[in-house]
Amino acid sequence: MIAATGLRWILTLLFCALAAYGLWRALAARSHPWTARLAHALHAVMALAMSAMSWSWGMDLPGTPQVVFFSAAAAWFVLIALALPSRTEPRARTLVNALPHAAMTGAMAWMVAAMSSAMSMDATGGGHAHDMPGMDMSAPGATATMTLSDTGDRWSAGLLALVLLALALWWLAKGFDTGRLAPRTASGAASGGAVHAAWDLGCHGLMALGMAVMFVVMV
Amino acid sequence: MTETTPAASPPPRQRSAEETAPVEDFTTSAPSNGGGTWSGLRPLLLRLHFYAGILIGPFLLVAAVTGLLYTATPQIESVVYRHELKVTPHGEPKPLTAQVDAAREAIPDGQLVSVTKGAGDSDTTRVTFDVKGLPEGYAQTAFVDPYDAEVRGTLRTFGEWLPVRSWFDGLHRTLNLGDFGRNYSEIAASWLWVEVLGGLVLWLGAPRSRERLRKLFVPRRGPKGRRRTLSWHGAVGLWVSIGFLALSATGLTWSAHAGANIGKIQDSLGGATPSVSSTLGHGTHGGSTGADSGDSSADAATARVDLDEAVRIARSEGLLGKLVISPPADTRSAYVVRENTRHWPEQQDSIAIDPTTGKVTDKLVFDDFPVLAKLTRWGIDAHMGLLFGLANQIVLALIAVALIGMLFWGYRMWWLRRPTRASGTRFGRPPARGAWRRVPGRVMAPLVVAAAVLAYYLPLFGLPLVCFLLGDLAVAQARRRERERTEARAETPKEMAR
Repeated sequence: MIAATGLRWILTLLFCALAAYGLWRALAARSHPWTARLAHALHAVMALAMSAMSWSWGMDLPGTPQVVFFSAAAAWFVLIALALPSRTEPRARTLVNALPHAAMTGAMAWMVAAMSSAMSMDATGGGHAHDMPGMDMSAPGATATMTLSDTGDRWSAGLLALVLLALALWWLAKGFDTGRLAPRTASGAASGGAVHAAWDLGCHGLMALGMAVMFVVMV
Repeated sequence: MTETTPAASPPPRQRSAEETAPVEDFTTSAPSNGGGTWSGLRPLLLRLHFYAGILIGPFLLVAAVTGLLYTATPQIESVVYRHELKVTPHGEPKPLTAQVDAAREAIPDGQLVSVTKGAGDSDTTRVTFDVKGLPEGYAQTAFVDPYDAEVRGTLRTFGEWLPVRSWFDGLHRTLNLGDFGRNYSEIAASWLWVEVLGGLVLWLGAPRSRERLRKLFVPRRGPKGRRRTLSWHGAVGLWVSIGFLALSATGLTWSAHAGANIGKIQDSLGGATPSVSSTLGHGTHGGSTGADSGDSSADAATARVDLDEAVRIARSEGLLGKLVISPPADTRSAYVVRENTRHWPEQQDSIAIDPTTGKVTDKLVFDDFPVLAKLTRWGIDAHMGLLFGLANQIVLALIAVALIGMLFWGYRMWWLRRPTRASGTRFGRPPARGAWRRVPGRVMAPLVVAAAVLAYYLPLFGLPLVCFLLGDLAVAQARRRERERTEARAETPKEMAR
């Protein structure tokens, strides 16, 4: 969880908004292929999980199902790019486009695993709830934070934060370009498809940015 | 959330009349002296500079005016409180203990907090008491003639500031509205640097064909008008920008929200301001003598070291100038004596003295402060006009006047740009909407992320920014719908005619 109240609420609102957007795109975009709608749904689930992880009760959620789910989701992004490549793009490009999503979902799985590992070590270590070998619970209950104490884990979290920040910048840049260059009507409105594409990219960017912040907090 | 539209190359665009305005038209023209990123970024920066100037301007104006008033307070204080502050030396000074006894009689219900021994022979001794019922941070101070222990007056003080200065200080920081009022000065400090840096970039990047350097630094002469006003706004802003940035940075360090974040960052960088330990037996700064007297403290009444002895020890340890002596709070505490000279060179050393043995249990030397702590001290004292005395006050006053001028010129340019032939009250035209669409994504994305990080650490930069954006989006949406309705109304007769 995140100890700083302001940051916790900012991230919660961000991830909830992203989850709502993902869910809406998964349900409303009926003309899209099922793979695209499932991708939206997966992002919505991931945003909800990230939102929960900002709170102390979110750390009590069972870790193993989450790790399995997000690992499977990461594999799914890669496999679907290989199995069902885009009709308009070469397979390699489809795969390259899918890899950032796989990386983000995989990072999510790693975060849950790192936290679950620390929690389970604590459970076997005699129940010292706030003296965990893998994680520094800085204070009891609501003020506990999810700072990792293991050096390797901290380096990994730092590296993942950098990767996610790079992805965030990449997606946001593409989102801005898509939005600003979209053809416009005389009244100044952009076409619906371009708007959706820009928002999709922007949401990917914001998701990656929010996750990067979570990883920075863990370091 | 998958991608459906790849980024395309920008379509060719007609230059609008606004973009082809005269080259020195700082507030409305698009640049013609450079291409690429800068030409795309400039309209966005111009729009931010304009709106922030219009909306944050009132906060900056109040800060500048109250700051200008504050710069004169040392002189006002020395006149208004001359009787309390100054005496004519006659004979030998009485012991500090006797002076404190006299002060106690003047403020019988107070708890002694500190004794300040003036640096000069003609200074009174200040004896400060904590009195119940006073607002937080305030105390009651008796001013004692050191030569005959006569109390020359008592005043309610805020730190070391006397009532006039503390009132102006409160006015500048909070408009004397308490914690709520702090938000005004924090908004001003949070946005001043944005306005200054944005303005600098715009001014330095503005195209100039001839006499480039002279036009940068020297305000333009000639007929009154928007160009001359702009020239004053830009050139004076360039000269004073360092002062504005310094005031913004130092103001932020003691703001409520951003200040807390800056403090955390400073602490994490090892730049926290240290303090001498007054706890006996727990010296943390390597006192010049052993910290072995932890168990030697007995009842305060058995203390063998009085205030005069504490001053003598402090002088022997090299403490100079005005000394502030805090007596032991309890039997486990030491005297703390600290220098309080806040003009250059600063003297801020402090020592802790065991009241029973007279041993120095801890010593903190200003030279050993972390660099960040020193910079904080110097910055705060410079902001308060203390660091270089009168020169510092004059510079601050000039900066305040310059800021007032900048705001006046800014608003005047807005006024001069208003449509004069339209009926009714009209405002000047703002820079064109949609400027962000000229900024490449590779530039916009880092800017947005950087703004988000800054907004988190400077909440009163972030919240107004979010409000600007939401307001701007709402206005854009409303205008778009209005245009769509107009288009629909125009289309309907054509269809009916067919």
